[in-house]
Amino acid sequence: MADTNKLREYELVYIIQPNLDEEQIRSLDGRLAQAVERAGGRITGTEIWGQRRLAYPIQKFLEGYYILHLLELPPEGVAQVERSLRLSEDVLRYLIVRTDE
Amino acid sequence: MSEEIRNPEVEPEQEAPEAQADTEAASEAPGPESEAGEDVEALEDETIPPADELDVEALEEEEAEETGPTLVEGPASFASTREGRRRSPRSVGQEVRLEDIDYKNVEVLSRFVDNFGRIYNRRKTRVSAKMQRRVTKAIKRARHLALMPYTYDHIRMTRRR
Repeated sequence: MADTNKLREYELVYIIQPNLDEEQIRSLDGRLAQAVERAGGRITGTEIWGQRRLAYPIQKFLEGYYILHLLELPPEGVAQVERSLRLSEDVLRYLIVRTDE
Repeated sequence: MSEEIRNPEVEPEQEAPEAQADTEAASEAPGPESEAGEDVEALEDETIPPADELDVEALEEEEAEETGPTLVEGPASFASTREGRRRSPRSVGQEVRLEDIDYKNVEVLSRFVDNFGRIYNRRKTRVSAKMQRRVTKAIKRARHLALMPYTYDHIRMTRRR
């Protein structure tokens, strides 16, 4: 545990606003992948849920585009990835949870 | 003593008129087992049977149970607990395994939520504390990701359009 280079496993789900086209989604997701790499981690798996109905409106949107990533990140890297998610206005919601416990 | 109380029809002839009124009120409400249990209290305290108070309590319990599937059958021990509250049937969390509890698994999680989107308490779900903790956590995560509603308002809003 004291090892600072240790990577942890995380699960990231985020919701993109529904009015983006394929191209925009891909570039947004690419920027996220870069952020993960810059934080010293990597994406180990991806699951695209696609367009889903929201259980309640977020920023007046009733649908959202869901993407799930499995990540390996150093604990300090989480903040950086979160920052890049927060900076994008097209990301309606995100959730990062540990999965290795 | 307790043998006689089991049979409510015998009582009116033996007891004072106040007690008679009490048993009548009890027989109107469904779930005879637990009502008989309350009669025990009334008869032990023979000075002034608080018939009205007992009635109110019984009604409140009735209302509380209508939020979910009502099922009071079988032995009396099942129907009422120490506090006089009827136990809910073991239906909410039955056959749900701990590994299935996940914020992505909306299908399973929605069993732990009523029609207004509120999380059932442990008295209702009858699952272990560990399970209940994980369920609550998972539901809250699912709500954050708009996989589940926070309030009844959300359910109405999304249904309309």
